Order: sequence, then structure tokens, then C-alpha cells
Amino acid sequence: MVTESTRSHRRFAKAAVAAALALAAVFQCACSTALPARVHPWERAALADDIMNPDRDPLGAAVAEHVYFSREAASGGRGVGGAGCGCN
Amino acid sequence: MSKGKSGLSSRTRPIAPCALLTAALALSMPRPSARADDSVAYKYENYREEDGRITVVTESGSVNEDIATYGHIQLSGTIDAVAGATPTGRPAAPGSDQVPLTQIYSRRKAWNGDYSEQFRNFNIDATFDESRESDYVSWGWSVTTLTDFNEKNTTLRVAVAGTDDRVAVNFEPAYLPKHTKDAIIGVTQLLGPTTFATLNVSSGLSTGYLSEPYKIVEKSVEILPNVFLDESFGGNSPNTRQRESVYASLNHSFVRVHGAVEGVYRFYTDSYGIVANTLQVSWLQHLGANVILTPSFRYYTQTAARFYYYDLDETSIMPVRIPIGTAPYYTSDFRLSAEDATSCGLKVAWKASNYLQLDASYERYAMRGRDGVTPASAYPTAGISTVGIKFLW
Repeated sequence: MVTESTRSHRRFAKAAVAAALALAAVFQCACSTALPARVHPWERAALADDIMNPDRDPLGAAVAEHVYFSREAASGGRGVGGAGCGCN
Repeated sequence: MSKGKSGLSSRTRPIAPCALLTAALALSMPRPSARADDSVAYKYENYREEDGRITVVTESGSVNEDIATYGHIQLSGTIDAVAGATPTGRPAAPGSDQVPLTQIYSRRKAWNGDYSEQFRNFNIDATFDESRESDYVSWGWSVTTLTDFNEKNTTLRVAVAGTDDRVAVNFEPAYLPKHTKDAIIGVTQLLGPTTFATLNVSSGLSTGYLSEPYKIVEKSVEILPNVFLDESFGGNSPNTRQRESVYASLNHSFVRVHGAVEGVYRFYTDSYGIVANTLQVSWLQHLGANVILTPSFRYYTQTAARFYYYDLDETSIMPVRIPIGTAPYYTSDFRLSAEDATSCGLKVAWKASNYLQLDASYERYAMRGRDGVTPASAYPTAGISTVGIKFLW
């Protein structure tokens, strides 16, 4: 008997395979066409500044995300991982 | 390996050739790098809702250390305590706008182990997580890869993650299972010497017991002819939830004013029928060489789950005593209602020395209902205070 849960797992597996194939295509395309380098290493002083680092405070970001996660229906988008929580 | 802070001091004066070479060798593009400073960090957060509702005190700590030349390990832990009043899900009494509240107390302990390894332009990061409460246990894992190409102008992110949870539910003799799987594909692209953008697409699936065990619905039940009694039932959510989101961010440095802007937008939709949009903007301003001031604004809005009902008596649905995850679905959990939330925050980070960093922040968070039915008393307004300290070596 195929349950709704099983069907959902299969749909998820198909989506993951499709995403992997799309990724491979993008990767192949990007590498083979050798996109022009817009920014050279010696032009990256501003980019290396702390204020341009999205991960400048991972611990702070984690506790802030947990506040939103426990009170709002939407979550994620920036990355994946972490254990679940009974708060949501 | 230190990421190098040469960019901080060289922003406003001509860059010497040797410094330029050092920067070229040490700096990769700004991205979610798995490598970080060797450090010990501690964070304390106090989330306090108005009107004597929920207070959450969270203490987190982490240790980061490079292993050999290309490896990096991080261990982190969190303890939080939740106490206060929260809506039960029952509607307000006739003539009142105050939804019924109940007192709760919960304590959570969580830890995380993270190991990453750099291979030329390829980085792989694996994590394991555990979170424990008296009525909820969760184990999580994730694998994230970051691939630099196009002379490190482009970084490709591919990640998968999963959790295996156990939930204690009233009327159930054993813990019920809950599983999630998530995948994400994203690209971070340099757009110029002062700008980069990120675009992530993610998908996730949750299965198992997905209802909120402490949120109830109320139904007026006819126990005798023309004799009605208000009875409480557990909510009944579908036992699968498919989630999709698109996340886009843009970071731009304004070198002349020593500041930068970070803008984030997220679109989210799921099989519950919820569509959510999130917009967050932060301005990061250097004040001198060692202080960064960050005002920020966040706006969040969501539509309701298609099975959210403020008052089940307005429907013909007859709830079941033990929710089984099959239709008809119903919940009165305000978090699945149409709502929006705004928050404004201010953060100060001070680099006291090369070995010590301190930070403090305050955020005002206010949530409102948008359906015109659920009373304002269901939604929280809170102040969030955070202080942190970090030792580096």
C-alpha cells in the first residue's frame, strides 16, 4: 500500500534528482564557458571588510533565527541544518 | 587561518603593493565560508513579551578551531528556558477580546558538532545536531558543499539536511515520529569590487506528527438535544508538509562613508497554503577603527494555512478526539493565521583588541493579525536583548 507519506518521499526524491541534474548542467555550463572574472583578487579590500561578511556573527544569527522560527510559519532559505525544536 | 582584517585599515589610505599581495593571497570572495577564526564565543539573549507573556532566556556558546592546514571544527551548545503565558488556541469569551492563555515552562538543551575541510576550490562541511526537551527530542544532520569557480567570483552552494524527531503527544502512549528533509542550491556572485549577491533555492519535506500538541481547538458539542457543551480538542494538521523558498540577498559597500548595506528578501510557500514574504535591510557603519553600528529593519508577512480557523464553531467540522493527520484538518494556532511582523533593531560591536570582541543589541518585535477575526491579544510584542563576547587567537 502506497501511503501519502511514501508518495511525498518519492516526490521529494524526484525533486532532489531533478535539482542535482540542473545543478550539474549549470556547473558544466559555468566551467566550460569560463565566465569573465569581474573582480580580481587585488580589488577585494572592501569585500573583505567585516561589514561585508554575512557570517560575521553566526551565534547571534542563530539565536535571532530561532526567535523567528518559533513564531512564524516560514523559515529557512539561507541554509539548511540544525536540529528541530518543540517550539514549532 | 585568519581571514585577515587588512581590509579594515587599508580602506581609507593607499594600499601598499605588499599589502595588496597579502590581501590577494589571503582573501577569498565574501561568502559563507566554512573557515572561521579560532575562537570561543558566548551569547546571552533575553526575549521578553509584553503583558506577562512568554520570556525566553537563551545562552549559547561555541568553540572554533582549525585542524591541521585545511580542516576546521566547531562545537556549539545552547540552553534555553521558556516560561510565561501563551494562547491556548481557544477563542475569546463572548464580549471579550482577550484570548485564553495558559502558563507553560520548558527547558531545552541543544548541541552541534561541525567539521569542514577545504580542498583547493571545494569546501565540504558536515554537521550533527541534537536538541532535547522533556517532550521533544530531535537529531539533525547536514552536508554542505561550497565550490568556488570563475576565479573565485562565483561560489556554488549545494546542501542537504535532515532531522529525526520524537514528539510527546497527549493521549498517545509513545512518542510520535516527525522527519524533515531539506535541500538547497545557491549561487553567490561578485558583481563588482564593492558588491555581491546571493540567490538560494530550497525545498523541504516534513512528515509525521506535525500538529502543535499544546494548541487546542474548541467546539460546541451537542451532548443532549439542544444542550451544548464547549469541548477542547487537539489540532489536526496534515502529516506531510512540502516547503519551498527563494532567498536573495545583496551586499554593497559604500567605501567613502565606511558603511555597507545588506538587503535580504525571501519568498516562501508550502503545502499548507501559506505564502510568506520577508524583507530585511541592515546598515553596517564603522565608527572609528573598532566599532560597528548596525541598525536594521525586518518586515514579515504570511497568509493563513487553509485549515486555520479562529473559531471552529463557525464551521461544520467535527474534530476527532485523537488527531490522526488525515482530513478534515483544523487548527487555531495563531502562528498559522494571516499575520505580519515588523522588527527594528540596533547592534553595537566593539573590537576591543585583536583577541577580544564584544557586542550588544536590542530589537523590538511586533506581530499583528491580518484576518480581521483573530483578536490582537493573540499576537505578541516583544523586546529582544542580546550581549555577546568572543575571544580569538
